[in-house]
Amino acid sequence: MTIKTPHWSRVSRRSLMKGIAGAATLAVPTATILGPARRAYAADKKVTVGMAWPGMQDAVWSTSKTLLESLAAQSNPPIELVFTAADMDVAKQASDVKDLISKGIDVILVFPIDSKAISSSVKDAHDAKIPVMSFLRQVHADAKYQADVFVGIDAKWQEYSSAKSVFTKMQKSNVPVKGVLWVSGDLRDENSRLRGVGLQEAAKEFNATILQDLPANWDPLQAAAVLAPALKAYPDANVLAIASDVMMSGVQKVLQDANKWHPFPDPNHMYFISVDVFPIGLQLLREKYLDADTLFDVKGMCQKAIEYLPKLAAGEKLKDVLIQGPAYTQENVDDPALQAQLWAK
Amino acid sequence: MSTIPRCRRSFGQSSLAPGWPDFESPGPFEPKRWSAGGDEPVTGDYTLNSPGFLQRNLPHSRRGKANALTILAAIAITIILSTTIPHFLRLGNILNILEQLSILGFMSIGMTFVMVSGGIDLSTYTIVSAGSVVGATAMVSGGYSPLVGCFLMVLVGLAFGSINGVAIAFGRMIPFIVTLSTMVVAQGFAIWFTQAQSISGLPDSYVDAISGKVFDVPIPAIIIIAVAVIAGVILDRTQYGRWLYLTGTNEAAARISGIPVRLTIFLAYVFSGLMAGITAIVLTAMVGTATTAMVRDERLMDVIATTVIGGASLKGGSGSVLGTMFGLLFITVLGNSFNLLGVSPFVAIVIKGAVLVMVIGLDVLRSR
Repeated sequence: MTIKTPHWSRVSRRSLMKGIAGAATLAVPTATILGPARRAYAADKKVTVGMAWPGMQDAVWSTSKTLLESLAAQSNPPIELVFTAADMDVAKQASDVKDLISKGIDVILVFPIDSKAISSSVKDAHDAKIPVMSFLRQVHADAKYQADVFVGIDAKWQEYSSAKSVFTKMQKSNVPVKGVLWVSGDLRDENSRLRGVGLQEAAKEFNATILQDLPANWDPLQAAAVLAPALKAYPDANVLAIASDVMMSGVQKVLQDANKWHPFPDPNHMYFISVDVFPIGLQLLREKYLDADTLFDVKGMCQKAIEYLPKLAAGEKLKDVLIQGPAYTQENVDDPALQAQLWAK
Repeated sequence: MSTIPRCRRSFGQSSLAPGWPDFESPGPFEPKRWSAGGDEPVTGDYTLNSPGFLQRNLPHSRRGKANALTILAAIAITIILSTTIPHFLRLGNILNILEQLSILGFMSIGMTFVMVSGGIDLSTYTIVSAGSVVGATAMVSGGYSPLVGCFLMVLVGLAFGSINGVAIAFGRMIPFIVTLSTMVVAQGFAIWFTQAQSISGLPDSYVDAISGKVFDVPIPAIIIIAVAVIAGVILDRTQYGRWLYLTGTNEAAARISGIPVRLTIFLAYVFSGLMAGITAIVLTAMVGTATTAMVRDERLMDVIATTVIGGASLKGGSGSVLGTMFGLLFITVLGNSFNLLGVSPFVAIVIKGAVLVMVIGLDVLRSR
């Protein structure tokens, strides 16, 4: 019996593969030879910066992208920013950096997902003679390959600053710290971990006890889910610290349900520490439910990064910049100087 | 005597009634030597004539044609992108793409086996993280040799793969639910094991041996090609491969035919776990660090898309390692092109999402 194949499929897969392989064999060396040579940077020319971003889902990431783009548009010499986003995937960020190197950019600005893992990407860039700026998250001190410069926020200091101002306030009001509940961010996120360390340092300084670490994955609903049982388990806890204002809505609902939502100086007031100074944080500071909130100074960071990028491309040695945003309290929340520093309005 | 192909594949499928395997022998499935091609069928102990290689691989059926068209479209898009994007065809970028194939490649090959069997493995990317942190801890904190570290990474992959396999094949549990649960367990294990700390300071001998280059060709690219060839041979040329296709096509019929269906399914998940373990070895060396966020959930969609573009069906019974490699090349080139073109990440997310919807739609169309 004869097998009849349809007319259109008479070109076999083997022939097809041969054709593709042949085309690729010819195309690759031709294009490699004819392709443009790597562009050398000249100080008076446009600086092309490869931006290895962790993702775009977070307000800080997208806001800093917008701010950097707007500052780059006004920059002299002109700066072109080429963004990639890694969706919080360490391996993808490494491949994004390699893609940017292939593109032939002048500088790489990397917002590391992981402060240790980014070291291999720094090595890749340095091997290609491309300087690297680390943005917001510093390459870990133990890492083998370090970025040329770091511009970022002191995440540990942020939580420490907020906590310190609240513990000081309680000390002045003769209110003992009966226990601190800590609603942390993502366990895998280094900024979240560092904020936890900042809280621990402040607690140690004021002899306060952190009763429980409640990871909430930066999610208000999860924050509510983990906080509700903790409030029942520790009814005497009178300080609540959260890793970011992004979780505020969930936390507020739980405190209301637990009858712990009272403004300062109500005797049943739950002392409340937060970080980032988003609009909801500002509002609650004014309403005296929140006691301290330290700014995530994205504006300051972006300005410094744009100032540094052309210098880095020109081969200048630069010093790291660690921006420590101010602590906003119920007393200073409407200070015009502090208001001018806000980016999330 | 009828003349029909051995089994359902991405190429060369017959048009038998849906739900019935492509052979008539009720006995155990024995490997046979088929004819080299041409019009002369070889008759064996079966009541069917067996086609040669070309006949088996030419797109006879509607599904086979659809698979061929999908792969051709992916190749066409790849060629268009490669010839129109500046910097794309530089040797450095070509090698970069080859290296990047390994990030998704091993997981995609593992997923191909699982999908051919009619299942799905959602846990593969968190198993990578779990394996990575265990192996890296052994090397960094335990002072063990890289060989031990790599062995542990594979062992963790095999352990999680076995758990999936036992629950699905022998426990008769739903693959989606089982692997979703394993995904959470593996992620939780990695976080607990490391206390969310990254592990760096890996031995240079390990990093250099796995992530280095041989004549400028990245070693991960060599490993993925070698693994793809071996996996292709297993799926294409062994009795186990045929069992897998037949089990995925119609599990009940395969069981009646004497195929050890449970063992076949179990081994598919173990193989997927093994691939996750190999991914852990390669990625940990490439990144130089082990973290709990080694690979994120977005990559799982890439892995599934890669496999479906390559001809695998979410309903099982079809797919091939070669097709998966084409799908992998397409997805990798797409991401690389976005970065080279400077496409806004917001737009890139939308395009990638649209591609995924098209891929799933394509699978539905092919199944009709």
